[in-house]
Amino acid sequence: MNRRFARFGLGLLAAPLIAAAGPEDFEGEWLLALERAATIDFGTLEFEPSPEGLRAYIDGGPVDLRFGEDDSVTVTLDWSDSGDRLHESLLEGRLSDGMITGRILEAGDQVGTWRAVPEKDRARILKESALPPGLIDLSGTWSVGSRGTHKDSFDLTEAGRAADDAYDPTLDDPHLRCVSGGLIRMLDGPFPIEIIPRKDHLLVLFQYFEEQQRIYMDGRSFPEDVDSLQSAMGYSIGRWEGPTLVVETRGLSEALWDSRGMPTSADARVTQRLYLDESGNLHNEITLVDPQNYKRPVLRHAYWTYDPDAEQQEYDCDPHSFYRSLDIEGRLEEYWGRSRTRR
Amino acid sequence: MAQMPRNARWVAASLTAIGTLLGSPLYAHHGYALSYDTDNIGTIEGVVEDVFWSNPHVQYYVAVEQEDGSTETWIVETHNLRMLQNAGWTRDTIEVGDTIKVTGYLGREGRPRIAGMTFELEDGSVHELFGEVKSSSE
Repeated sequence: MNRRFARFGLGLLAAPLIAAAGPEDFEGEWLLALERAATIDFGTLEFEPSPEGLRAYIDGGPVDLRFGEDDSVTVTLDWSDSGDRLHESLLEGRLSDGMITGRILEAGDQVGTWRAVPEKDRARILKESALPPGLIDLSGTWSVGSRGTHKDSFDLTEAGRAADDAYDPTLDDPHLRCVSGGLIRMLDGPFPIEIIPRKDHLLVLFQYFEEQQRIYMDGRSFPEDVDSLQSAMGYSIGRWEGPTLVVETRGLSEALWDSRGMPTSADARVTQRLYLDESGNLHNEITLVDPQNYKRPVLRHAYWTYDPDAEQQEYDCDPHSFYRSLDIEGRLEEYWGRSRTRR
Repeated sequence: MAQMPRNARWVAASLTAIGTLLGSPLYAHHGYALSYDTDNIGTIEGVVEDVFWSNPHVQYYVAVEQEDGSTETWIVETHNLRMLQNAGWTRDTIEVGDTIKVTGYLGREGRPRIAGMTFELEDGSVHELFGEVKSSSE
C-alpha cells in the first residue's frame, strides 16, 4: 500500500482558503485521489463548460455537480464495489492553492477524504518512478492494489443503451459459463497477474480465466486485418514513452465491460499507460474509445502492487454449477432461448 | 425483514448486524441484485446433497424439507475458490450428508437459492464466511 499517502488526512481540510474560487477555476482535467480506509484510489475528474454551465465527469462518466454558496463543490460519484453493488459517494471539497480537498460522504457519514490537482500538477499527489526507462523492470507477480474509482455509469449511445438493456447478467454473463469476458474485464480482475519479458514481447499472464496478453515490443504495427481478429484479449503493441509503457490494443471481440454488461464493440480501441510510482506500484491507466457504445472515452486508473509471493494458481472453472443452478430454478429453457443475444 | 422461503422450512433470525455490514449500497442493473433480493435475508436448514468445489463459485446443493414432508433442492452460493481458501475452507469443510443451516440473501422470485453468509455446520460451529456477500459473477 502507498504508505506515503497515509500522512495526508483530515489535516488538509483545515487548509486556509486563499481566495474564493469560481466555477471557471475548475475547468479542465484533474487527477483525483480518493482515500478510504487504507486504500487510495485514483481517477480522472473533468470539468467541462457547456451551454447549461459546467459539467463534471469522473473517468469519463457524468457525475452530478453542485457549487455551494460557501465556495464549496460537491460531486456525486456512483461506483460499484468488487461485489458489483452500486454505491453513491458525495465528494465535498474546496479549491485552495491549486488543489481541491475535502471529505467523502456515504449515507451522511464520512468514509474518507479526497484530493484533486490539475493534470499538469499530478506529481503533487502521484509521483512516478524516477528510474530511467532502461532500468524499469515490470517482470514478476503483481496483486491488485486498487481498482480505481470504479465509476459505474457512462453516457451510452443508443446502440450502447440497447445492448445494456438487453443484457441479463443472471443468464448472459460469460463468466458464469467459465468464458473469459475479455481484456478490460481481465485488467479489472481480483487475481494476481504475472509479467514475463520475452524476446519480442511482454507476456502478461492472468490467473483470472488463465488469460494472457502478448504486448509486442519490437516496433511492429498492427496487422492490416487486425480489426477482423475478434479475440477476447485482442492484439497489443507497446512502446516506451519515457518511463511509461504505452500499450495499444485492437482486434477485440464484442465483450463485456463488467458483469453488469456494459458493452464494448469490435471497433473498440484500448490504450493502457503503465508506469511505476515511487512506491513501486504498477499503475495501469486505461482508456477505452468505443464511439459505437459510448459518447466519450471511458477511463479507469487501477494499480497493482508487487507481490513476489503471490501464487499463480490454476483457475479451475467448471460451468457445471451454472447449468445445474438453472436446472434447479427451471430456467434452462429461458437460457437456451437467449442464444442469439448472447455474446 | 426476512421473508419466508416458499414452502421451505426455515428459521427466522434477527439479522440486523449482517445488514449493517453492507453499508448503504444502491442496487441497479447488476447481476447480484438480479439474482438475490438484498432486502430479504432468510435461513434454510437441510442435508447437503452435493458439493461443487470449483470456480466461478463454490456451491452447495441442500435438500430442504417441505411442510408436506418432501424435499426441495436449494442452491447455496458462496464465492470463488481463492476467497474460500483464504477463509480457511477446504473441499471437506462441508461434505455430502452433512446437515447445515445457512443464512443469507434469498433468491428473487421465490427461486430456491441463497447467498450464504452465515453457516452453522453439523458440529455446531458457526462461520461468518464473508463480511459481505459478493456478486454472482466475480
